[in-house]
Amino acid sequence: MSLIEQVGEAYSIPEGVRELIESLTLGEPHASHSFRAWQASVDFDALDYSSFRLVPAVFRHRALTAADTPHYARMKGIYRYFLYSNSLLLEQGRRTVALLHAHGIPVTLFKGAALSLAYHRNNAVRPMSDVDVQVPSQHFERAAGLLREAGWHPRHESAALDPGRHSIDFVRDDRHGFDLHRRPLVECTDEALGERILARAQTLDWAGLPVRVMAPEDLLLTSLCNGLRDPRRMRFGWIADVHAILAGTPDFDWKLLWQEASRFGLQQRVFDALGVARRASKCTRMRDGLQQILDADPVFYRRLLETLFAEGRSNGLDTSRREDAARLLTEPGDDHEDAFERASRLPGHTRHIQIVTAPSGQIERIHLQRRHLARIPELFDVSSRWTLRRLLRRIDRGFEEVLEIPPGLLSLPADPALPRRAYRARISLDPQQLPTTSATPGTVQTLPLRIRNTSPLCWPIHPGSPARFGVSLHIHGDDGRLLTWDTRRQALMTPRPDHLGFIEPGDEVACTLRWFAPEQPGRYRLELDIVHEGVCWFSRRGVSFPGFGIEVVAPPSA
Amino acid sequence: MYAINAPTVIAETLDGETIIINTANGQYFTATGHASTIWQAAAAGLPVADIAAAFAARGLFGSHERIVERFVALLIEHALLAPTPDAPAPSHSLHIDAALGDEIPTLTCNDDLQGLIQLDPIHEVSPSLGWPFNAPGQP
Repeated sequence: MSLIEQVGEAYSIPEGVRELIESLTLGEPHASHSFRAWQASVDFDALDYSSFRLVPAVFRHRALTAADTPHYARMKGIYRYFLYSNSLLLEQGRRTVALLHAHGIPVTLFKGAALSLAYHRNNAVRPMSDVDVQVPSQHFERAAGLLREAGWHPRHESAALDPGRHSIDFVRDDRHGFDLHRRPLVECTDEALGERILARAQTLDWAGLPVRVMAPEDLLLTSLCNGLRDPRRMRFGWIADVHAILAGTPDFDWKLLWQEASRFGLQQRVFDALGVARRASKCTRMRDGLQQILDADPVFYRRLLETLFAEGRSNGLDTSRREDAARLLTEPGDDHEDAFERASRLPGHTRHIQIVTAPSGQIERIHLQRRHLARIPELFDVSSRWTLRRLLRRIDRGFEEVLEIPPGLLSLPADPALPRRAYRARISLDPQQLPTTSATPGTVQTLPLRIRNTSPLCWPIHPGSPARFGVSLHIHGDDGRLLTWDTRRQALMTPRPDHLGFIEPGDEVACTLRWFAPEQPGRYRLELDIVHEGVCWFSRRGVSFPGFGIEVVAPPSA
Repeated sequence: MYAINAPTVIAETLDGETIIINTANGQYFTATGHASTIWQAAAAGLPVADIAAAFAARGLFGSHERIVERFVALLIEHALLAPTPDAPAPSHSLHIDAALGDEIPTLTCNDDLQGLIQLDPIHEVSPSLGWPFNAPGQP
């Protein structure tokens, strides 16, 4: 698999969703082939959310007729449904934008409404539940006030009073949504971004109302960042958005996209998201975009290659990528094997062994770094230690190895539980970003953490296994009483298809825990913990972790 | 002459069915067959008299019946069409399907906004008709 093809492989895309996306993005006859494959296998009564929201685009794009579409009537009905609901929502949004304009507030449209207006020119194709607009920071509070006067109210009143909030979701009693943003993304803390977005925006006619719409590079940045924001709950409609933006922008400026992503430290997410979109859509422009990014940013390219070697995923690199890696990673006096070896030991990474299985399901081949050969008995069930020793004695020297495995020699352990001594760890807080001591009820908090495996054994995650390692919080009241055991978990590693991932003894990984402040004002004590899903909590194995106090304070009334 | 009452009215024709939505009040209309033909022609700005004459020339809806005129009046009554001084779109060609015979053009209206929005377009609809048609036995 080439480097570009590996990008985004950690994120799996359901087969039916992929087929629907391909039916929109591929040329013929491949698009029809994908659509027929989807029709043949779909359980329409159990249609998932992402597929449901792709149906209108597929219905229109493919100009479906009753004669050749088994689920035609319900697909047409879904199209009609979104034509209806979107039209009501968009007209409500248009009038609201007109109201803001009338008070001298410049508005830039983005997300669904922008895509409908600029690219689809159709109300049904891009389902949405709200209209998203961005206004310059200095106009935000006045815009919010005007919306309240016009009958909108915040979906979450307490969150709306948070002065640092990047957006407020307004709703009306008829369920329409209007999301007012002071910044398009929560990560984009630079107030000047709003001015740049405004300067780049194009003006379109929205049923007689001139309105600014985000430039394609800004639209793509928000689509990619939002698309991969929560990988555990990922929906896939954004991939169709990305395709529509690129298809409608022959002169897309990849340099500008990357420049803005770099300003906010979003390069990895943008790159991964683009990789996911490329894998789902097979879009050559996305592939070309990924390559242009690598060509334009050798620092990022070097970091990407380092990561591949650090994670043990470099075995698929073709000759020219290996030459690039040798060129970028080698220091004076090194040969390239030294450079690769050094990169493979970079701290802070989950390591991987690629597993290739035969049609029978048995492991027939593994790709791994030489230094991990000694881990095989620990990470796999071995049917014959003698056979394994003979196998390992026969291999040549080399940085990476491909081992042909005799049938039945290796298998993945059926029981994910590890020996007791594996459950030892240390959690460190970032001294620059200590946990907040005060928060508004219900608001999202982030906590960067470093987790070190202080045990003598690896923490593995097998392909397809739900037994992941994650970090979470337990909430206690001021009196010490346990109020909530386990809040939102953050996985320590992202499993990759066909790879066994593991955190080695002594290795430390970084993650950011997102959690919600309790809804009720008061004092609380929060205790960190690590879970081996389906197996145990580290705290229940006698491990202590940091805790911290927080006071939740209701904001003053508006 | 008339045009679609933009921006509050949205319309689209799919497979011979015209869907018309009045976003001001949430009313959902459908027009099929001759009704769809008349809508498309009137919304494109063709004079009502020309539309009626075209039907009469096909042996449908004699001028004394004023079928076309009454249907257009209904569209105006529901604020779906509005008068316009602009000339008709030159690209619109009026095609009358004689196979439909003298089927009287009708406008179906659903003004249950809440009901429409809440109707599950996968599980609560007729499998042969789709949203917004309820499944048999569904209230």
